[in-house]
Amino acid sequence: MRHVDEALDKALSPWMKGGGPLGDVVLSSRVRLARNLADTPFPPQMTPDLAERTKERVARAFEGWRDREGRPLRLIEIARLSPLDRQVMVEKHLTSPLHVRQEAGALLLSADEATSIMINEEDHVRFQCLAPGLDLAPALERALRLDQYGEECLPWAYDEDWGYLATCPTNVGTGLRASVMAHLPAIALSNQLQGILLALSNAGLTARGLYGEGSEAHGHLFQISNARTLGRSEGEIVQQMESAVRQVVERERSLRELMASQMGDQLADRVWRAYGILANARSISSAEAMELLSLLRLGVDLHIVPQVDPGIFNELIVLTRPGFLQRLLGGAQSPEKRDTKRASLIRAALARATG
Amino acid sequence: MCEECGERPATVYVAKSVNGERSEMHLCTRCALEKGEIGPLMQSPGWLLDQFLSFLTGITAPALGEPASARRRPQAGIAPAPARCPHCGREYAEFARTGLLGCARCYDAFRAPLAPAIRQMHGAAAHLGARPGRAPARPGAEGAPSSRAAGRGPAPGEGGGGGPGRAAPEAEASRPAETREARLLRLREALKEAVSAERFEEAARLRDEIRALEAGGPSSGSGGAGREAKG
Ligand SMILES: [Zn+2]
Ligand SMILES: [Zn+2]
Repeated sequence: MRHVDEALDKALSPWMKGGGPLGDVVLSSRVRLARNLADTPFPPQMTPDLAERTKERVARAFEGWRDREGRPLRLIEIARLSPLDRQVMVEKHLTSPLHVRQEAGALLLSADEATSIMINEEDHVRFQCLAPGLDLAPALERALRLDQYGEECLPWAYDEDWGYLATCPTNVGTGLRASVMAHLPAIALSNQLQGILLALSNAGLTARGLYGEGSEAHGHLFQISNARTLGRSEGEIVQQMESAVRQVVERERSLRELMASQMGDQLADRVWRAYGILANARSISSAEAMELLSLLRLGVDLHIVPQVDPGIFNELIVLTRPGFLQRLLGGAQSPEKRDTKRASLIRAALARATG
Repeated sequence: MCEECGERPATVYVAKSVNGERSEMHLCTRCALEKGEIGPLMQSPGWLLDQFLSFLTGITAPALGEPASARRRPQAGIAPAPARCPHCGREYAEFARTGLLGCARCYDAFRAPLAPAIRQMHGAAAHLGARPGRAPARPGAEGAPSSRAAGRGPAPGEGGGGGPGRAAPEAEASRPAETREARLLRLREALKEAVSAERFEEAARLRDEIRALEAGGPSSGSGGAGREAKG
């Protein structure tokens, strides 16, 4: 249980500390591989008893796995987590909202939190590998190694035509979902999202706002992922995605430069105002915090406010989520209390980062 | 399907709140652009599943203010399915509602209606890429068989940094692209045609040829990521 607390206490997973390739625009890359057991009903059709047995079976299959430093995966069982802890797991993107509702669900998590195995989510097994910046290829290789390691004692459901069989036919074939989290403030502020979206969807990719509901995308954070999983190999899917994302990054960078050169004073004013509010506010909502943090990060990347460590942006995104805040406050709290705590955390983090 | 033109797949999800009343729309990107609905926008991650289910059931998502029944369009070419999977008991109706199957053998039980729906959704009918029993990952790598045999400890000579993961995709990026790429493209097109015409023997041959071409590339042998030898 101490290990669980470790993963939940820190806002920043160890793997996130480096900036990674194209880290000024792409915060992180993620690869997910879906796998199922050929001899067991899929999760929607499993009895609770079978679900328990599947959990134990998969956990045992990976007992001997070690990372490069010789550290094992640790088992986190959903049933043992409080509702708040479950929310924090989702806010840290360690697992999914669906998964934390599965009483027989479990997560195998590596020490650096960059590698994990979701057990009994929509599929029996989902390998997840993360990397900072735009770096899908090594994440893919890690996931495929986990797959091969598991295959020695787990009979994967596989069809000669349709490849790896998933609970939902949208995931058959490779079972691969590759995605990146991109910060696109200049594209968003210059109303160019439409064109980008059209280009992405023509390339078979989907994009969605990462935070916020409905039509609002707080913090200009977007998740871009491949839509289809069948008919192209893992390497091809990842390669095609990287080149599409590279183009988005180039557009974002050139628009940032354009903004800086054409509306330098105006932009600097907005960035410094964002900084002023974040550094001094006594109460701030999640939406406002995301908006201002996005502006501040843009200002850091454009060297308008050079003295702030860009890494705190990633940390504050998680730190200021409702679940994480309440956990810090020791339990469920009113929105007002959360807003106050959020403001004080941001002030402290900025003071540290500008130190 | 897009609620505006009813022609292209819906890729954009628009949720609005006007005078406290919430409304939702699924549009294709072009219609969303024309209607000016994409300022700040969200794309529903489930659109592909929606598209799949509507193909399967012949019912497209109802437009706002339109009864669902008005949109019923029976799909030609969807073969009838058994009421349930004989192996796990999953009901076909349950699958058509949720998009979720009950076991690996459901794919056989429901193969007739699944095949055209999967082909339509993925734009492909045959898997390419990793398969069980492919060549083992490089020895000494994280979690590779040799480190399992050794029990624990980092494998000697395993460097930090990006490491071995780069092998396959970079090899791909640097392979003598044009001719091979073009050939692959042509083979894939032929494969698609063969499958949709149900010339399965030809399709199998094409698939093998594609796999061989991919596996036998000048620099793709080492890493093994998604580019395995046939098992
Ligand atoms: Zn349309
Ligand atoms: Zn079944």
